Amino acid sequence: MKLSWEKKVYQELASAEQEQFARTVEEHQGLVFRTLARLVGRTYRLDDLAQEVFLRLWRGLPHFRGEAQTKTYLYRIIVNVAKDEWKRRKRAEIELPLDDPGGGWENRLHSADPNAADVLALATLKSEVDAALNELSSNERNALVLYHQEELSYQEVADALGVPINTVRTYLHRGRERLRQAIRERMGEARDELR
Amino acid sequence: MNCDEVRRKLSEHADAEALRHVRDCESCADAIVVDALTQRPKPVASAGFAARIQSELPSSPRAQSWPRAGVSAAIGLLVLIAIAVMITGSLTIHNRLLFGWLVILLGVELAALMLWLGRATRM
Repeated sequence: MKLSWEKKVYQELASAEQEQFARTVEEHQGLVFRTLARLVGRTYRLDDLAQEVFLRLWRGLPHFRGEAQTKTYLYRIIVNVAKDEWKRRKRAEIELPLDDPGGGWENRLHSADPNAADVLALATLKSEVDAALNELSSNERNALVLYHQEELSYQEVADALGVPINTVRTYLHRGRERLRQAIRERMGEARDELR
Repeated sequence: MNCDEVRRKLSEHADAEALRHVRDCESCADAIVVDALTQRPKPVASAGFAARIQSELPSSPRAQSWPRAGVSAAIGLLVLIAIAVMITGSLTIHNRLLFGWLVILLGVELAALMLWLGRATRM
């Protein structure tokens, strides 16, 4: 009798924890989806990856040390899930298409539309940045996304990546330099097309 | 054409002159990169995502605190260490120097194992 009562109490506690966790999921799912979308480069399997993030968070709850670190802890899990996804893709040798399913600016420039040059607007340049982001090392990409997109401080990025602050600065500096280089090269190609 | 003019022009449409400027201008290329990075994508979670997660959660996380991954490896390592200690201990029991080294080695191995397990249980 006592055992069944204890079991009931335990089940109620577990159920309450799960309901509370579901609220946490609702609260943070936007953050998880947008960060993953940037880190893994495209949106297929995003649901599965986000689910993996929350399951790891659930499993990690007993080791979690306080509310103040919730986001950093979550970002650390997201970064790890994204790294695992990149490793999986590398093993499977999956080719990544550009984010824009309609094709890059090269396709548009070759179109018969006489105003093709006009569609080469800033939005297209930004999608080229996304494409170039996929070509960076995972450390550089993680640091850039967490710092610029998620607006974390150097310290928070360092905590999420598990590296010293100076290493974060190096990743950011090197990553931005490589993105600038990539975007300028692509612009050079586009300019030649526009001539 | 100055930087402000180029950026304004690029926000409407691009032409060869603006692209040439950006290609040669570190500051404009950086502005485009930072601007692109700070924009947040807006992917939408599938309907009922939170409910699905809730339904697929294993039992209470407290019951899951011991990580499944790594436990079998840790047990395997402990068994290996025990076997190594038994074999080398019997050989070196009469040699105090060797036995001392064996104890130090054993201590280091156990400390490394504990550190590794501590790291494995973090997430």
